[in-house]
Amino acid sequence: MTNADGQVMGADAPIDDCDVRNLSAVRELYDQIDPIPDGLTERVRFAMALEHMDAEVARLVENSALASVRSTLQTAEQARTIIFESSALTVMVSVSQVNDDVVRVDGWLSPEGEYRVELRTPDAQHRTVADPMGRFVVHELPRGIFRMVIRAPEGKTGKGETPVVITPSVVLD
Amino acid sequence: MNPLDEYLDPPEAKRYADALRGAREGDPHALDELVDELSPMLWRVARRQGLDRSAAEDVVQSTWLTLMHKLSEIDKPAALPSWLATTARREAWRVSRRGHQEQPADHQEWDAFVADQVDLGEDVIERMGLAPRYKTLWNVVKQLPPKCRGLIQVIAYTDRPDYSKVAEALKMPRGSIGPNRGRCLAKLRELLHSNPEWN
Repeated sequence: MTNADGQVMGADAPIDDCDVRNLSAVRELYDQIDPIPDGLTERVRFAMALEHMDAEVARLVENSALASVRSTLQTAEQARTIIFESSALTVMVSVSQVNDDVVRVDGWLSPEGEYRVELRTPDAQHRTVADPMGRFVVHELPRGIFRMVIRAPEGKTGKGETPVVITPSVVLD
Repeated sequence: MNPLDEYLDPPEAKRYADALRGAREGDPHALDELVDELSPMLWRVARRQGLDRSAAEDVVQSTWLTLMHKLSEIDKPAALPSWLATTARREAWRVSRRGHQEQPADHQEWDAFVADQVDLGEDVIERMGLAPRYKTLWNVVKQLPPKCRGLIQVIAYTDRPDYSKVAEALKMPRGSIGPNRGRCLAKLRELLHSNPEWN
């Protein structure tokens, strides 16, 4: 119903419980026909957790399997090499598939040194320390998405826990 | 004093303030709860702008990352939902200019169902399990003018104290949903009331 001025009747009345019920039915409708994608909020939280760190974000410079970071690992032989660069550090990782759910990550850091390396997945953090040649390995990492946080070797930084480099997310799906 | 202030829910405002302060102080999980709560609203902001699902997903993510970079700019924690809605609307507009609109129109499958043209995927039919009431509602929602439909679907995912500010953020100040029903909510109510299948 509209009145002579083209106003919808009742538009000036206060919102009441009936309006709130109508809106909640609309919400249920859209939950059915166009739900927010599974895992979106988890991915957002994962991206945010590293975003505020006072660190340099390394650039992806090479991903040997495909031009895109989103790619598929199909066989154990099909190791993939990914290279990140930052002003302080170059990070090369080779990712190989252990089984359907697990990958192995071998890494090399340059310049060499005993960096503290963290591989973060949405559910967990895997910490390790590179050897004096800058090599590290994480034998079992859940397949999916991960980012790396690389901190300077113990005692080589005045600021203790300041992360030196974080990488963008790598998706292995 | 802004007459709308009385509609702001102080505990909510304090919760937003605490979360934002935590994030500024470096707690990486300070905003987790709000991400779960407010992302569905941002999803609708992006989708109402006609973005496909993948582009809409990027908009939701970049909206939150923008917040991380602008934490110090949020001087009124109570305005967080509308700040996020504004940011998502701008981002969605920017992305839509690069051509990520869904083709053809949104809700194609549902429309086909409603029009009794079959050929629906299994997953859609499964969703229909609880359909009759939603089918009626969808028919009603489709009768709303497009701007109203856009507003209603976002407001439906917004907490009541934030209705008017979020409506403003969507650039719908005229006849928007403040303490009063406004044109769109009144229209929805009228259509539902006059629909025998709904009552």
